Amino acid sequence: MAEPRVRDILIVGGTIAGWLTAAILARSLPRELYHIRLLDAATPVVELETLGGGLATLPALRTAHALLGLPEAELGRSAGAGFSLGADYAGWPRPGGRYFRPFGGTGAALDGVAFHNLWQRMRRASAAGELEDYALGAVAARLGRFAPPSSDRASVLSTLDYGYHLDGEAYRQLLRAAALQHGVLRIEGEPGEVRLRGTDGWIEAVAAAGGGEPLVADFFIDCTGAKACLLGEALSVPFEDWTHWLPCDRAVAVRESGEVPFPFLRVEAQGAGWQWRMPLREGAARLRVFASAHEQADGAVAFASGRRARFWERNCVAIGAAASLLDPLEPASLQAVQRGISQFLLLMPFKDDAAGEAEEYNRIMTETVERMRDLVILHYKANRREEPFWRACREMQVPDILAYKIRLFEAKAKILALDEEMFRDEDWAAVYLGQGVQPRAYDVLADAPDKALVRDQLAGMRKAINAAAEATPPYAAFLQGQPA
Amino acid sequence: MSDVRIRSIVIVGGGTAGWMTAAALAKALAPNEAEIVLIESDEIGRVGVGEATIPPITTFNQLLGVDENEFVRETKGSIKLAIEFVNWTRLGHRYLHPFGQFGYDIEAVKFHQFWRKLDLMGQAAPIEDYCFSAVAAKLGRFDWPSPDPRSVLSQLKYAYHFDAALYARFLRTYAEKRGVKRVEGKIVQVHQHGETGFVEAVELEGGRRVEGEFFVDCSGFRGLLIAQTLGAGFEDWSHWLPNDRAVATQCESAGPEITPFTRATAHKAGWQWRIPLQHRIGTGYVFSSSHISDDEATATLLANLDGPPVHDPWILKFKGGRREKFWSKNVLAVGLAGGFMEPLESTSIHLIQAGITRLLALFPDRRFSRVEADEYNRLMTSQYERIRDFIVLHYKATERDDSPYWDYVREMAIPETLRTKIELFRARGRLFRYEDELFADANWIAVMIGQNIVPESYDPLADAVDIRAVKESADRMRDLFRRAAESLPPHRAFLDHIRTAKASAP
Repeated sequence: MAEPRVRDILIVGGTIAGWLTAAILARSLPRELYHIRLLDAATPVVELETLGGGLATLPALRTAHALLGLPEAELGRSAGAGFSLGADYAGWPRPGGRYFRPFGGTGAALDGVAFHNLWQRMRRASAAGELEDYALGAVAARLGRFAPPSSDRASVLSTLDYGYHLDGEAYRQLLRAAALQHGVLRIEGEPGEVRLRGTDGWIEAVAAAGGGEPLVADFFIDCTGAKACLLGEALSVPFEDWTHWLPCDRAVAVRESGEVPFPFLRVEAQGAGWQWRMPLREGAARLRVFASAHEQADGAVAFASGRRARFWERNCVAIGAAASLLDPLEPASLQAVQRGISQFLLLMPFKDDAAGEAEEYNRIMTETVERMRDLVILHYKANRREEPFWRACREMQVPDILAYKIRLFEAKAKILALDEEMFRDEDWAAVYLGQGVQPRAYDVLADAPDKALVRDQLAGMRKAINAAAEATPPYAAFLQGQPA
Repeated sequence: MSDVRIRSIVIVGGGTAGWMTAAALAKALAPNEAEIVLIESDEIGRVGVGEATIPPITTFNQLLGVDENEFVRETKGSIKLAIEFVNWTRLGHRYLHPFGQFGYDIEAVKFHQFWRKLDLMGQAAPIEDYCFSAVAAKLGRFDWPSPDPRSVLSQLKYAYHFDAALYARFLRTYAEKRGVKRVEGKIVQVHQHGETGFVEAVELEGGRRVEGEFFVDCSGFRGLLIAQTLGAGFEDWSHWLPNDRAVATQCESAGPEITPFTRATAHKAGWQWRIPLQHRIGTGYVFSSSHISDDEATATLLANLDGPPVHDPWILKFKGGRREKFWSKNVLAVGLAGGFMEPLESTSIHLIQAGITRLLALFPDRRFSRVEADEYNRLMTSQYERIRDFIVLHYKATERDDSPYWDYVREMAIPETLRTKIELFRARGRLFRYEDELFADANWIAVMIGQNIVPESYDPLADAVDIRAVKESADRMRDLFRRAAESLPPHRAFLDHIRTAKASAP
């Protein structure tokens, strides 16, 4: 056991990803064994997801908050947290089209048959409504109502789930406070020169630009955003560009005021891209994302979807946009961050030998981000719009695995969940069907239960869902009841 | 929709694979969805060998809605909590590969990491002591698990030993009751569509034609439809799994005790299984014919029996590997027609079950979309390959150097996927699981540690927890497992009880 341990971890970049990483590492690792510092620039880095102020998150972020002891009331007070039951897609897959994808559950499986298959069977046979009619989250959102999920598994309210709409900068500061409280040491400064060890190119130290002692550490975490100052610039790990699959490369953001709050994210398709409207406690954030090949706009921020060829190289791991950056259509960027952190903790290296850990981390994170990427590509690929941008998207060749998944859904309504899949089968089902990918057949086992039984079950579900939705408070009333 | 559904299914071959398929289809498909016919010939001999299973078999029984007491009674079955491996790591060495977990995770760090830390400090008991099923197995005790999740007795993981011929008979009764038609006869010809090559009918001796839209090939090694008719190739794995024969028999028990575990004893050129049933013991020596002769293997087997043999030993021939395609056109191969892996980890019946559940998930219609077969083949290929890796591990991780056979397997090149797993584990006890992989962390831990691939160090996060507290809780756990196991009835008494009890759900 004479193996030298990693003791000093330097996180470079006070991005949201950086502070979330710092806070979770500090909370999870014993203070007497690990020394965690974060090099934070005085002016925050521009981050794609928080342009215009708003940051949309998935339900899984609540797990991180529970670990950090970050109460929801605090998010409301300090970060203007709004609640989101899911996303409403308007203008998808064609002008005038729309569908809702809830964070919570949709229907209930019967005898091990996934709900959307039962629904397929009944829809072909009789009027069974839309898939989202069986999701309390979607029905409540449509009515502008909100309630937190119930912990009583017997209650239909237990099928609800929610994410947040946060004020990005306020949230970053909240995470910073949490990290400092858990023992992270903040060092102010821009990342400067990165000193590599002559023998093997491992990072020895990172200097803060404009003076001070170089910061020596055993392990470095690159959270500098898309620039990837350590992994990309210093260690020369190349960037793999995905813009041929995800052609949107510009974003413009606006903060709006005076919007009546609604408990979901509104995603509208536009001529050469789409826009988000994300209500916060005060006003709303609007983010417009489009492809520069089809549209120009002044003041737009440029970005490119893609990932680093490797996320962990020598004694450096990149988390957040420094590792991979995805078209923000899915509010999933922080989930990739969370995954990166927990995977890093699972593979916590020793000093001087991390080759096995790095290989395994890279394998898992590559699959993680590629599976997420594929769901985003599906939104573009499966469209019925006629603008040149959308026609080109429809005609593009998608990654082989996604093409295969689509074929399988078309043939059998079968959802293929591969290793490291972060989106649920229900997410895939909602997007396939919402985007108009029609299966030719469904699970044969869905035919086994007696038809009248299934019909009654579906009717019962809709009744219970409608009644429960009517009984939840209007969103504005719910917010008023929350501590502000 | 209804006009493209499969209306007739023909299962070629009875035996375990055929009747499991027939029973599952009869139960899972909607009533009157399709006519199911099974063709088998009494002429094709079938001797009931003892068969060992793994815990997912209980899911299959649940799918069928089978009463477990009745099932054990009818198949002269017994309980299996573990496999005991004797002489694998080195001569004179033994370890258990039990079902179920080792200990409990602490602060998201796996128990075996703490175990290794304690072990390095010289303060750990054998890892088997921290697995409830292993403790009960060693004491020879069992009872149905408690339904109360708070009770330690709910954590008992088990599978069965049974007589495979009786199991097939049991399933036949079940399937016939649910409308499956059994046709007696020997297939002499297969008729294919002139252009597409799809199988249209099989012809029996005497000229009877049995037509079908979908065929399940359960004809065993020869693969009558999948290989002999449709020409699906075979991927040969004998360079990793050199055993190609078995000599099998049954013998009487030496005493009243029935061990609730399978035993796999390594010999000079292979290994011997020992599967205890209620009335006798099924046993056989799986060996490599290029390393010893049939006669020598038979002599070794006969010298290593619990009691007198009740049959003359018979020889089985096989080859380790899998079909390149399990599903081709309108033919699906289940069981030995699809591939063979030696029964070292009792996976034969599981592979049948896996084939059936994946068929149900991808059940075709008469359009036979290519993607359904592609996906089925992809899933089954990965099932086979991951199980193969796990079995190869037992041979690769040995210190034996007492025969050319063991020298070969110790030195052989292994699949890259297995090499990565071993290296990650050897460094710091880290494990990962592939999509759809049958064997979980606990299985890999048992065999790796059992065969002396002990992590050089442990997860550094294990240092985050006070090791004295871990030691105390591990000691308490061991004690709890031992006392709880002692409270269970002896396995023999349990079996006697359910043999006489009325049918009831456990």
